[in-house]
Amino acid sequence: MHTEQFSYHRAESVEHAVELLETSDDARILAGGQGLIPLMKKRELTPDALVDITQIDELRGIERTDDTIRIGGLSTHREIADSALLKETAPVIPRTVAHITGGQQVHNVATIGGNIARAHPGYDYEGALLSAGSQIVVSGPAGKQRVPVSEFVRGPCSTTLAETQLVTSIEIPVLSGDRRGGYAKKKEPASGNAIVGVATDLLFDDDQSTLVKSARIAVNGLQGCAVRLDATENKLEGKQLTPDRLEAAAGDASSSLDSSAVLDNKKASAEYRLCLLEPQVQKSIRQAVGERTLYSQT
Amino acid sequence: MTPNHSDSGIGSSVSRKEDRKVLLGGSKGVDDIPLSDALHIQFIRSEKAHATFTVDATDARDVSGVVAVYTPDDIKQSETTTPNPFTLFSAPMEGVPYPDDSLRQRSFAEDKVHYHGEIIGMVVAETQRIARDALDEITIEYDIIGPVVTPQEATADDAAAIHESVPDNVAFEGGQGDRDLTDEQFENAAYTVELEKDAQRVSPTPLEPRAAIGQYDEATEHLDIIATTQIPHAYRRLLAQMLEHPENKIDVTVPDMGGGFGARQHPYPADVLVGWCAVDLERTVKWRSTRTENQLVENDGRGYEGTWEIALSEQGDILAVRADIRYDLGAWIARGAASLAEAGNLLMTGLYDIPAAYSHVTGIVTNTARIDAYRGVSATPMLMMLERLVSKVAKKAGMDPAAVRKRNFVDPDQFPYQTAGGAKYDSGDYERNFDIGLDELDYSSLRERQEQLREEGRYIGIGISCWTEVAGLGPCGHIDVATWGYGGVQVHPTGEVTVYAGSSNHGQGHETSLGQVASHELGVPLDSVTVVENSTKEVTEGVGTYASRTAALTGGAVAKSCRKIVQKGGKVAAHETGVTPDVIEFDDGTYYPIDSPEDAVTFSEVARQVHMGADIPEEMEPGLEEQTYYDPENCTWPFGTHMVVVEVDPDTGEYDIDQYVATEDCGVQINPTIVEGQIVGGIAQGLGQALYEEVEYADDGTHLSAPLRDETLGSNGGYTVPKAEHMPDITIKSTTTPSPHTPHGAKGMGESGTVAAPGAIVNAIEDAIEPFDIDPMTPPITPEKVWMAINREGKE
Ligand SMILES: Cc1cc2nc3c(=O)[nH]c(=O)nc-3n(C[C@H](O)[C@H](O)[C@H](O)COP(=O)(O)OP(=O)(O)OC[C@H]3O[C@@H](n4cnc5c(N)ncnc54)[C@H](O)[C@@H]3O)c2cc1C
Repeated sequence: MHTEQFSYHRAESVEHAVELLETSDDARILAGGQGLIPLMKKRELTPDALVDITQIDELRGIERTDDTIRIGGLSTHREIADSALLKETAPVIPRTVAHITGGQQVHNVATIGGNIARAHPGYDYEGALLSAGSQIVVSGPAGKQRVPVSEFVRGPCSTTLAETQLVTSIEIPVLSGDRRGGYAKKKEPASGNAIVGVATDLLFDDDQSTLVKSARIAVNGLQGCAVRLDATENKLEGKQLTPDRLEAAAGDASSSLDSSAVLDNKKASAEYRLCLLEPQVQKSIRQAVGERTLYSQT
Repeated sequence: MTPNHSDSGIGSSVSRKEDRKVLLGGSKGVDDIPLSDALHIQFIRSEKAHATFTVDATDARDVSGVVAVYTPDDIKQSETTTPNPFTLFSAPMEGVPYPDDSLRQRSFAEDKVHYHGEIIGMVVAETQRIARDALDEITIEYDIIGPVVTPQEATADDAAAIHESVPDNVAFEGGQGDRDLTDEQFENAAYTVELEKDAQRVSPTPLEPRAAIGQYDEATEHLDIIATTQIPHAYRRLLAQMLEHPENKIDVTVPDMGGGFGARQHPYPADVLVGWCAVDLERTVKWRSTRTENQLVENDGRGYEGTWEIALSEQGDILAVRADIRYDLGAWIARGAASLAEAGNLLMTGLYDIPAAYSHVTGIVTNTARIDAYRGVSATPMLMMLERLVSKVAKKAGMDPAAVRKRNFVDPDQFPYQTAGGAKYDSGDYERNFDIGLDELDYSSLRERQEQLREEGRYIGIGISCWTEVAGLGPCGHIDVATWGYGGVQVHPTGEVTVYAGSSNHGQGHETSLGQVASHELGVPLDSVTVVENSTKEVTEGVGTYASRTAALTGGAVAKSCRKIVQKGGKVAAHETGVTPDVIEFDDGTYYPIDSPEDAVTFSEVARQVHMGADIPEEMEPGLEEQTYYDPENCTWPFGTHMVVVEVDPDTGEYDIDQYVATEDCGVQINPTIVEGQIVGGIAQGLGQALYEEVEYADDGTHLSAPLRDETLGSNGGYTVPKAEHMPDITIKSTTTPSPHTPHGAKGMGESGTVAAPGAIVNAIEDAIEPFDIDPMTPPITPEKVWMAINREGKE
């Protein structure tokens, strides 16, 4: 045992979890433990109590209501990557999860709730959730709240989540039409985390159409939080997708970005991250476009 | 008598006997040993690299469950003898004396620390958690002394001395080879190239963090150690000497160990103190390091920096090589470190017939953890630099790098071949091996394709690296410890066989390969052979596993013991069949008189008979068991060629390895599948050195490379050990040039990939981006470095 001593509590329900979080001074939620336990072993985090939420059934499952997909906060990387429903309705999400490293061992236990709650800039979910227009559903003493992902993550490893709240689910709007997703990532080789990860959520009328109804493209790993690439999106949205336009859109990726906010650290310099952006954006869009033949004027 | 073949003998790719256990999670490491009432040790380690210090452990002693806290004073004042300093197993090189005694590593720092992580003391408690908690209650006051973290800093004029009696931080200095001749050759050369190298320390990173258990029985004064070491018998000898405890009252056992790679050869201060603590407390004590603790102090490999040069004639003959090396030793000179300098020099001419070579090595102490053996040892930097130089000088002369290599290889009829660095290579047929690689790549068309692709803005590169290693160290007297191979073989009356091997299996598959040697020699099925290893209790003697020595030396000893057994059995068979022993044949487990094969006696019948001792020749002792201490006449010198094709994307600096062809020759292969495993594993580590790995210290000497995965914001993400996703597909080819002097022609095969891959990969990348006319790259070559080189310096 390398951690400091802590007490362990198993929550039976969301209400119970909130209660447990309220009653202990310095409690932490334990989901898959893939982010939390390494920090505790190094004693970088020394919570007094752990509230284990893994037995709470209502946090599981991926379902569709009329216009929303609800991903339970405890859904594992594996369940999400394998979800036929998500592949159909919000393909950017499972495409992204396929790029999370750590192998089956990590994928079988790590959860989406834990991933987004940790809000690490090198993690992959944030960009995909942002591109898919997701809301983070949190529960706490004051009840349930929906927070857009862009507001939920405040900065590197920082969220608006109060100590007494937990992420119960993630909601993604269902869009009608042919929705396509892509994710391209340049990994840092030791951690497998993203130096640059680009998530693309494109909407077409049908699988033949090359008219982009909507384009939502977000990048994570580049700055402290994931950001949308407005310039690229604008180049594509409402337009016929031609090979030139695709390249031009990728070429514009950095133009709407605050380049002073680009991370500059030992994983990669800011300059190099920006160099990687365009090719990764291209790759990500191409993956979303898939086999469809691009529009050509001739 | 002829060698005997069976399905599982030498040359057969039988599946490894140990795989089932390993793959199904049945392995048991030190930490899996069940212990009742063991106490747990946590070491108090320095957080600073260079400082005098005082320790206050008052609060820690008060923590409930803490049994003992040892500060330096507590250790010194105990009745148990303070551990002696470590010893070295050899002087640095011929003519260079042993370094100053004050440089020999101590088990703990008394009042001054010399590197981040050095042991200051220990806490012993009822549980690991309590011991860990008590560590947080210890206060250490440091008085910082300016740390010297690199050889450059350590030898600067105003550098602080790490050890008072060595004011210039130079542990030793010496040259090997013919300096004058080398200089002369350089003066006469048509082309010369000079190349700098930085120290690039890399971490061996075995899967299992180090651990040790000490059990002391006060009644018998017996100290039982269970530990993570590659050299159980030698480890025992060292502990005996350092603890001043009789060697025959110490036993060392190694359970399944998750890798060693050289780093688990010599004991560390922690190992010595675990033994010391067991004796002092007369209890069972256990220590298990975390990954962080393991990485912090486990020896790094390499540490060679300096200048390497090559000289080429107008016609393309390599005239000489020269190196001026600063060798970063870490804060103390590790047991094996000094002699690694010599090992590298011996083979600095690689596979080429180079008339002159000279290398000068300055061993320098720095405020860092120790450097010692790591797979590939000093062959890796020496041959990586040689192979880079050969490619560069060929290009400078407008010649093809493959052609220059072919022109300069030592010819098959030159063996045994005396190198200008001082080695005597046993056998080789280099060009035959090299040509297989060229054919596999379709080399000349590939060069044409490279030209065409460049026109299209695509950049592929071909990298070649030839290698050899000092495998199977070696003839006794080479270094100042025993280096024979030990193999005992016992034949049970049932005909089953137990092999007692003086080596150490920690992933290499000895249960299988050494079993195959016995199966082959005795003509018994592999299933009837059990291999016992890794224990001073069960195996009489041993030198351990390092320097790619087990196949040749333990395998050789086992073969020799088997041959003694076959001979003794032959006498029994002769006695039985009423003929003289010289007309007895032995084939596939049966003895028969050459003229009356129908009178055959099986090996197991003979075994039973010798065991009973009833019907055997009069002068013969009962029992069928033999031992061999095999002292080879030379090391073995395996060799090969690695060829790599990469494509570099100049816009991002990213590269892909399109092809990797390793053509190897390790003489007779006992088990080709195990050989392949060694090649692939070695390439992974060599690829790590080329592309990913470098141990990093902060300017103040803080070690920064402990975690393998690091989520700390702004960190580099961790120390990158290559993973499956980083590995290319590898094509493995082989030639067989037997060693003329080992009993079954085998040579060592442990280190090819770590020696050859770095040069091959670096050469390939540099070849790809040659049109950009950039300066030489410095490994590890990250895509960002390539991008920077092309886009900052690039001249195209
Ligand atoms: C080897 C390895 C490789 C990895 N590679 C990648 C990668 O490539 N990309 C990537 O994105 N990630 C990667 N990760 C990180 C991993 O995906 C995340 O750590 C994981 O998703 C976190 O989820 P968890 O369920 O394990 O959370 P935990 O570790 O249990 O918790 C993480 C944090 O979130 C909090 N928390 C957990 N659940 C909730 C909740 N429902 N509501 C509120 N707070 C909560 C915890 O208190 C804790 O602070 C890797 C991890 C490992 C070990």
